[in-house]
Amino acid sequence: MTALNGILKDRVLLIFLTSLVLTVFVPDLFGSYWAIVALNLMMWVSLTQSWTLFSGMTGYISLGHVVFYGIGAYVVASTFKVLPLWVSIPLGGVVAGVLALLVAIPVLRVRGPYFVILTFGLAELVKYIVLNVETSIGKSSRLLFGAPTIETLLYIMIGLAVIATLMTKLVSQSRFGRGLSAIRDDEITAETVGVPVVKYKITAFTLSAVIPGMVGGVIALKSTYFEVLQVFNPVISFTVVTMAIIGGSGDVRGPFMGAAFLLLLSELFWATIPQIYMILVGLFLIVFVVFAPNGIAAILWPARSRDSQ
Amino acid sequence: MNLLEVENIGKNFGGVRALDEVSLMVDKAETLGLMGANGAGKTTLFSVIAGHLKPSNGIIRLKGKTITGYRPDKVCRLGIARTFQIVRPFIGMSVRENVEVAILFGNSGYDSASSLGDRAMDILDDVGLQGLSETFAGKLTLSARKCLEVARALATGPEILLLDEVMAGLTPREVDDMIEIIQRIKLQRRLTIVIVEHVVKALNQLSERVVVLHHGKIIATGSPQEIAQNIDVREAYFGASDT
Amino acid sequence: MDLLLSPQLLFSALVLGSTYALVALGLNLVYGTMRLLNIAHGDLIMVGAYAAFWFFTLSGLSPIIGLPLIALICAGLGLILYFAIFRHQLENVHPVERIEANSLLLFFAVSVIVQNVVALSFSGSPRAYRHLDEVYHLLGVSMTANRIAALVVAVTLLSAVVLFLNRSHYGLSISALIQNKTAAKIVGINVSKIQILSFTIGFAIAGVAGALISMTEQISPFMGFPFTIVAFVVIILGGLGNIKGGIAAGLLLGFVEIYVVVLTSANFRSILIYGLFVGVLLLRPQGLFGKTRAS
Repeated sequence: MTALNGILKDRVLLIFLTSLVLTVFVPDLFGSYWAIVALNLMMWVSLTQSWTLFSGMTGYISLGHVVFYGIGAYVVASTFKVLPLWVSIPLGGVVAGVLALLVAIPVLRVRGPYFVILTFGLAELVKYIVLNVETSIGKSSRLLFGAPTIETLLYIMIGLAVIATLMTKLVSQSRFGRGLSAIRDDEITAETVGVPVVKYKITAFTLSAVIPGMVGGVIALKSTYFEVLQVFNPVISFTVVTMAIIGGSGDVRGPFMGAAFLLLLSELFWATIPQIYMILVGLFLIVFVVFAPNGIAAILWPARSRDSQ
Repeated sequence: MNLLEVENIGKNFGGVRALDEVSLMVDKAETLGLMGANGAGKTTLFSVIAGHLKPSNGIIRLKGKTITGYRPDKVCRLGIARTFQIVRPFIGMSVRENVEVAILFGNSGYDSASSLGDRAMDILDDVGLQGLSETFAGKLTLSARKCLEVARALATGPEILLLDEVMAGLTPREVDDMIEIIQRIKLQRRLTIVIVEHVVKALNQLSERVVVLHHGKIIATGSPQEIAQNIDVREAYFGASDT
Repeated sequence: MDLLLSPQLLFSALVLGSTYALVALGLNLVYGTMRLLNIAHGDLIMVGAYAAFWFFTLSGLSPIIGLPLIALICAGLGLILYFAIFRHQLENVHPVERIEANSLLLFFAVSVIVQNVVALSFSGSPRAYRHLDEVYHLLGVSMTANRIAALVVAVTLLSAVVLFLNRSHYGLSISALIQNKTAAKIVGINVSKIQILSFTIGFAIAGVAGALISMTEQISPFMGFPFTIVAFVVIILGGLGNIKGGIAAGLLLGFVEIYVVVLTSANFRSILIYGLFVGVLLLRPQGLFGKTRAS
C-alpha cells in the first residue's frame, strides 16, 4: 500500500501515465494513420519498459527480448478463432512468462557478455524451432481474418503500456528493486549482504517477459497475418535495447523518450529508405553508449536519474 | 554448544589442496584470530563458511544446524556476515545506500518502524563514516572503503562477523582507529568475530584465541602469547623448514 | 554407412570445416587479446565477400589474386573502428565489465550499420558469381575447382598464422597477451600496439574468409550473422583464445554440420548451430576462460 501511495504522490509519473492514456483520442482527432503511429509508439513503450524491468535494473543486457514477443504472437495466431482474444492475448503473456521461467534457471547462471550473446542465440534458436514446427505442419504463414479494429487494438496497447510503466516503477521503488540494483552494481556483494540473487533474477526475468508476450499477440492481430521470421526478427530486440539506452532507463520517461525518438526517425526514413533508418539507429546507439550512457532522460532530468555518478 | 563449528573442511582447486581437514570451533562472543602466510587458505576458509565456495568435504554448523553448501545470501540471513579483503562496495550507490541495502536484506530483517535512513546513519556513526554518508562509494579513500566493508557487514545484523584483512594497507594511525571500532562494535552488539589479519599487533589486541593456518592445515591454536612463542609457527612464517 | 564414409562427404566436411576454422580464427585473435566479443565479425566476412564479388566483376580476375587487397580493405576497416570507437573504450572506461558490455553494444551497432550500408550501396538481394566452377574427379570425388582453391587457401593461411604466432616477434607477443595481459605488460610488451595488430589481423582474416565463401555460396548483406554464431561456437568449443584448439573445433563443426544435414534435413542446420551455441554457453556458465568466482 505504501508503494501505491508513493505512486499517487509521484506527479511526474501521474502526468506521464495520463498522457499515455490520452492517446485514446488520437484516432478520433487525427485519423487512422496517426492511430497506427500511436499504436506503434505504445508497443515500443511497452516493450522497452518491460526490458528495463529486467535488463535496466540488473545490468544483464538481454538481446533476445523479441523471443517473448514472438511467442505471444504465436500463441494468439495459432489459437485464433479457437480461443476468444481476451483469453488468448493474456495466455500469450503467460506462455512467454513460463518460457522465461524455464530458461531463466540455466541462462541466468551465465554472466556478463556471455549472457548477452546467449540471449541472442536463444531467441534465434526458438525462432528456428518454431519455424520448423510451422513448416512441418504445413503453415508457412497464417492469415488472421476478422481481427479487431485498430482503435480497439490501440486501447489494449495503451493499457499494456500503462501496466508496463507501472510495473517497472513499482519494482524500482520496492525492496525488490533495491535488490536488483545491488545485483547490477556487484552481484557477489549483493549475495553477501543477503540479497537472494538467484530468486530475484529469475523473478525479474519472468516478469519482464509477460508484457512482451501480450504485445506480440496484439501486433499479430494488427498486421492480420503471422509469419515466423517477422515476429521473431532480431531487429526488434535491437530496437528495444537501443530505445532503452537512448532514452535511459533511470527514469520512467526514458523508455518513452527513446521509443518516441526512434519512431520519429522511422517515420522520416523507414518508408522511403529503411537502410538509412537502420544506419542512423546504429550511429545513435554508438553515440549514446560512448557519450551519454544514461540516455536522454539523464540529460533532461539529471536529478531523478540513478547512476548519475 | 559452540556457535560456529567447522569440521574437517577440505577444499581442492584442481590439484591444489587449499584447505586440508580444517576443524575449529568458535564460541559465542569470542574473537578468534586467523593467522597464516599468503596462500595459507584463510580467505578460502572464509569463502567456504560464507557460502561463496562449496567445500570439497566437511561440515559447517551454525548453532548445531548444518549449513554446508548454503548460498551466501542464505548464510548471511542466518547471521554470518563477511567483509572482503579486496573491498567490494556497490560503487554506483552512496555510502548510506550501501548500508541500507544490507539492512533491507540482512539477518536483522527490516520493519518500517524506524526509518531505514536513520538506521543506516546509526551504523555509519558506529564506524565513523557519518560525514561521508552521501558520497559515492566509488570515490572513497581506502581506509573509508575498509570502514564501509565493516559497516555493510554490520548492517546485515550478524551474530558472527568474518573480517578479512580490514587493516591491510592502512596507516598505523588508521589501524588504531579500526581496532577501536572493532572493539566497540563487538561490545555493543555482543558479536562473535573471526578475524584474518597480517597486522600482528591488531590480532594480539583483538583476539582471545589464535589459529594458525599453513598450507591449508591448522598447525597451531592458542592464546596470542602462546602462538608468539610457538616454534612451528615461527618456522612456518620465517621458512626455517619450509620452501 | 557407405554414405557416411563416402569421400564426397569427407571432402565437403573438410572444405566447410577449414572455412569455419578460418572464420573463427579472426574472432579468436580479437577476443583473446582484448576480451571483446565482436558480434560484427560475420559482417566483416560479408564485407570480404562483397569485396571479392566486386573485384571479380570489375577486373575479371580471380578473387584469389585479389585476396591481399581484400584483406587490406578489411584491415583498414578494423583500424578505423579501433581508433574511432574502441580505443576510447579500452583506455577510458572502467571497470572491465563495463567495457565488455559497452563493446558488445557497439559491435552490435557496427554490425547493423555495416549491413545496411552494404544493402544501401549494392541492394539487399543475394548475389553470386561463377568462377572456377569446373568439376574435377579425384578418388571418386567430384569437386569444383573453387572449393579446392578455398580449401588450399584456408589451410595455407591457417598454417601461416599458426607459424606467425609461434615464431615471429609480434606473433609471440600476441600469444603472450592472449595468455596473460598483466604478465605481458610486465615483460615489456606494448599492449595497445599488439591489440591494434590483432584487431587488424583478425579483421583481415575475416575478409579473406569472406572472399573464399563468396566463391562457393550466394552472398547478401545479411549473410554475416550465422557466421558470427559459427565463430562463437568454434572458439568456445576450442577454448577461448586457444588458436590451435579453435582450428580443431572449426574442422569438427564442419564435419558435424555436414553429417547432421545429410542424416536429417537442411532445415535442421540453423537449429543445430544455434543449439550448439546455446549448449556450449550453458555448459560453461562461469565464463569461458575458466574465471573462478572471486573469493
